[in-house]
Amino acid sequence: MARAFRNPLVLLPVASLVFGCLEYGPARGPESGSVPLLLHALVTLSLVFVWFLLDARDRGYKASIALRAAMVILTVVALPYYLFRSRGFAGGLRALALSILVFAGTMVAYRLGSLFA
Amino acid sequence: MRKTRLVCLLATGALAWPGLARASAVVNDVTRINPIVVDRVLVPTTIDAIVEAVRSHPGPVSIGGGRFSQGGQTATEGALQIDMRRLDGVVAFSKERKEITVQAGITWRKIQNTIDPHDLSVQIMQSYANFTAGGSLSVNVHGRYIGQGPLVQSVRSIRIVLADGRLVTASPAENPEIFYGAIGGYGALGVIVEATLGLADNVRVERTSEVMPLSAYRDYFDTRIRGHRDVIFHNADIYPGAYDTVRATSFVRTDKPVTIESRLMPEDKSYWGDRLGMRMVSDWPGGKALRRYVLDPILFRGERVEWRNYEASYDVKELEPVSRRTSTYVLQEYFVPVDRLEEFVRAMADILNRHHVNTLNVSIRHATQDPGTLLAWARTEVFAFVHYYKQGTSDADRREVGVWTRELIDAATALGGAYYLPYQIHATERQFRAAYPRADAFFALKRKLDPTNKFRNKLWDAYDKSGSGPSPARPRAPASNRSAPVNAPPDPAVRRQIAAFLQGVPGYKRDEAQTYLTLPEWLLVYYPGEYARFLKDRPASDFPYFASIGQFWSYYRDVYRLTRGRYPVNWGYHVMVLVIGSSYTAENGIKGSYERTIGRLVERLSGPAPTQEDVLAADVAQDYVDFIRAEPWYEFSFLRSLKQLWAETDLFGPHLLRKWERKLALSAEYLVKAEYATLIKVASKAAYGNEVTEVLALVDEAPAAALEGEAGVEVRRRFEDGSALLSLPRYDEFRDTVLRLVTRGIRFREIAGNGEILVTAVVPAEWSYDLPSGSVVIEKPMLADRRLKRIAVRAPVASLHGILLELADRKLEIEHVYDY
Repeated sequence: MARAFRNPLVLLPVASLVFGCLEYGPARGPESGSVPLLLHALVTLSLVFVWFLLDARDRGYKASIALRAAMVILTVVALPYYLFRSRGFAGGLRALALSILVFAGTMVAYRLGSLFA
Repeated sequence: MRKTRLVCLLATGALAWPGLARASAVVNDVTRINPIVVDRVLVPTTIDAIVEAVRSHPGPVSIGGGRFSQGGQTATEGALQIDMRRLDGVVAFSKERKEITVQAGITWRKIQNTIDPHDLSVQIMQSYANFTAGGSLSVNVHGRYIGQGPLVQSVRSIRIVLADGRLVTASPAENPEIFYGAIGGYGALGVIVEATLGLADNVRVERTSEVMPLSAYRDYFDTRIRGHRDVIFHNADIYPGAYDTVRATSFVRTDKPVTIESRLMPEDKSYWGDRLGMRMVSDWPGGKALRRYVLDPILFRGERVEWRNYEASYDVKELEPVSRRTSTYVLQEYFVPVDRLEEFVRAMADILNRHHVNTLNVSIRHATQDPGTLLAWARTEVFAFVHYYKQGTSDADRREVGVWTRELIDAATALGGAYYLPYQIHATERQFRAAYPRADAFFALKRKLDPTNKFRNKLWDAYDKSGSGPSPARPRAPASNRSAPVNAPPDPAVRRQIAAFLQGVPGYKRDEAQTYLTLPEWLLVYYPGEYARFLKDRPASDFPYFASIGQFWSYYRDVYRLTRGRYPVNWGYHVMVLVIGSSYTAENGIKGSYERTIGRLVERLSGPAPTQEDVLAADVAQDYVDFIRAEPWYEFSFLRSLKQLWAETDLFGPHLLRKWERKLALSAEYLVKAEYATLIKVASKAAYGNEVTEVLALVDEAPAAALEGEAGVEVRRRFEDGSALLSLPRYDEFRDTVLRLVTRGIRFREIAGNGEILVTAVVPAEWSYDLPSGSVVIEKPMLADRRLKRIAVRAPVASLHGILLELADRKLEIEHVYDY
């Protein structure tokens, strides 16, 4: 339980809840190029990147510079790659399913935030 | 079975059997673009047969030789065509007098075979030996010989069958008016059946070759070539593009031993290497540079000593393309007095470059003055410019060739020169008269010798007004005055002033190739549009993802072919198209694979009713299309779409499986696109900087009333002839603005310094393009609605208004006008 709370990804739904409120509060939804939209993307990317660094360290996985860069600029492709490389096929598949759940949970939190607004 | 077929062929006259008259045949020339249905083809083997045919045939008579003329000079509709190729004997030969008498259907190669063992050579002939002697006499050929001129200079006498069936001998001393009329007379006065020709010694010649600036060539010619009796052959090839550099090649008499043993070019020689070289030069990106810097240095390296007859016995097979179905190699030729060489080359370069002619070579030859033929092309000592180029075979391509050919003819005649008549008949009657000022005397002689106008062909049908043949051909008048190029400024001096001014306007000239190359880029706007429309009433899994990938690349192939050879290769743009095409391929490949499997399965399990997510996906697709019509695609916020997907659709509801499948599938799509768009945005800014947002156009007139309310249009300058330089917005706004302006009577003269522009329209699948100007260069079905098709029209800018107004009148959708 304590370990779960050390995982930065737990902050993803929280951030989404906040940004859902912010974006559907003053305005009627997200706007292209708006500060909340960009900030939310930045926060999400940062959390995922920090999680990746911590996870790689815990597993003793030596991530190349290219992979680190890819985790920032093309996360959607790099993340599944990392999951399979660091955990093998079965472990990677499980982790991928889990990450989809995390993503869905994050977006549900965003919806909840929009409803609270 | 084989016997039966042979009998049938003979019965229908489809075989060229000596003496047989073949009924209702189609004759053509080497270019394969001039098919003519004649009444009959007679293949005589005796002069008597010709006399009898001419005397007894009541209708028109045409004369054909090797079929190397390129504009129907050997036939006319409904004529009796006399195919001379079987009247090909040697009548007399004297080694001492260096003289040979031959029947007119003999090929030069056959003459060479006869005289070569006696160490003799033809005195004057063209570069290729496949032609018949009679054909060469009729067009009064020339070659690459120094100190010589037209073929007539080597002709001692001819025998000719006149319209009344008389067989007459003509020479400079006997019947000189017939001699000087029939040689170079293109079969108008009678059938030349025999000729006595002068011969020369077959000597060994050594090749020399030098590359030099065009500006140095005349000096070089005067000091090193002209008057040097040892120089047998000489020509200089001008490299296309800049047209400022020549490779001067001479064959000089020598006593050195030959390096090529054959005395004549082997008749079974393979020409695949030559054809490949031609293909590379004409079609490959950078082909012209490849020739100049790689192929020619290889071809001209080392010592080459050969016999004169070897150099004079080339086979036209070396020029033959693999196919002439969609394009063909064509020749034309212009003559100017020797002191006007540079002036003509400058004008020629301007015309050829302006019209993006795919020139393979321009060969400069020299000819001394003609001794007096009525249709002399060398009225003084001249340089000849043999222009070899590639053109399409469609009607539109031929019309286009006509436009710049007439400009070249004007350029030559303005300098006191002429153009050559054996090629495509594009010249107006005025141009013909300017180039051949003794045409009246020639036609008067024809009236005298052939009062019923028996001897006809396409050339004389075009220019012999006093004959009884059909009206002369002339450049087609536009069927609608909307397409008339009324916007050419009348005063060349003003035109030059305007051109000089425009050259100095920053950003005025844009690469014309881009009007074509931007089409694939725009497809990435059209396809999402089709996708958005498709999603409104049909499931995503039915969209033709894979067909659209194939069609994208097929469009790219087409525009590549349209620009290849006509324009310098725009590597940056090709790379860009390859990148976006690959992205599109990957995206649609993945999407198509997913939608056709998992997507379709979930669709079937959930029933036909669309979920909220399906509706939102259709809306996002439409938003995306609307957005990218004005902005670069990578500026579109897929993150916003992702958030809307989750915040503005319910988490639970009908068709739950489909609902969540769509949420996850669309999320993946929007996430990938959001990140990819960011990447491309950064890369684009770094590679291209900020985009140019205006395009400049020269219009005939720009009255204030026509520009009223046009906020995006700015008059940058007005010129003294009433024309004006306008600044117009780009992209979709460009199309809308141009449409409004042409409706108000604005006529474009140039857009971004260019004379042609691409227009696409969406039209019913069964519709055929029948507008008087412009030509369809690409035509493909609309994938999501097969009742429609997209046509890409190559439009002359001068006729753009006519094309747009006509399409609009017919309620056809003008999709885009491609602003380079």
